[in-house]
Amino acid sequence: MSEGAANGSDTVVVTMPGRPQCVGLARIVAGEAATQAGLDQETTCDVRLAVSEACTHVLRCAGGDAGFTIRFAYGEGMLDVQVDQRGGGRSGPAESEEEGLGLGLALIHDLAAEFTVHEGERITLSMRFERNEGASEEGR
Amino acid sequence: MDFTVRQEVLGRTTVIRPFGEIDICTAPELKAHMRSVIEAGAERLLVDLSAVGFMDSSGLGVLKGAQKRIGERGGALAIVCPEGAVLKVFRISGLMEVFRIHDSLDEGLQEMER
Repeated sequence: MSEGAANGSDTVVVTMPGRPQCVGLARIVAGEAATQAGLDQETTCDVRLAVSEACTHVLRCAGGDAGFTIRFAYGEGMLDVQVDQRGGGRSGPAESEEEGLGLGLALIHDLAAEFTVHEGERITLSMRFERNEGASEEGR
Repeated sequence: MDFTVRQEVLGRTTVIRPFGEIDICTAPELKAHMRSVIEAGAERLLVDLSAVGFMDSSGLGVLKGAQKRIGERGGALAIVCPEGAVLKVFRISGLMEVFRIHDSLDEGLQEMER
């Protein structure tokens, strides 16, 4: 799973089928990657929420066969996360009011230090998280 | 990651208690549960999120939909959510003022039973 260290960072790539049940698994991996990156507890919670929203966005906007690949690149105090649609097509945004209020991407924008989304033939969401240096040691 | 929803009636208030994490996988179960309670005639709904360890915008959508539905019937929905990661979702989404959110079940019940 790990692609090894390069330039002081490690990269972990996980590939998951496009099933809602896998979003919880993605959160677990995201939380562990954030811990490995030395992020504080609050930022780790932010990473879990952002990854959940990103995977949900792919599932809702992509065709039925689409899965997703998540790439975690982490170094001391920072974590880059990229969520890529894998397979499937595009069915367009499918978020009705009761399916997230269309807030998913807005939440990621607020949570991440940097966030870009590319919605071409395939959806790619990239985000960066950085350790909150003001966080208490107990929170790490 | 088990997800369950329990409910009880306290006075005139129906208390809904989800346990676990609310996301795209579990939100439909919560939505169906709340819809059945509202359609059964509940007019005062208190959703206690104290035992929810994680919630994303899928959960917000379910709560907003239930609030709209019960409001159309002249009822009211309030939420119990102590300080923590779940409350932060309400805060950063700008929905703190959209929902009536209480720190504790006792506080929520007091308002609902007025």
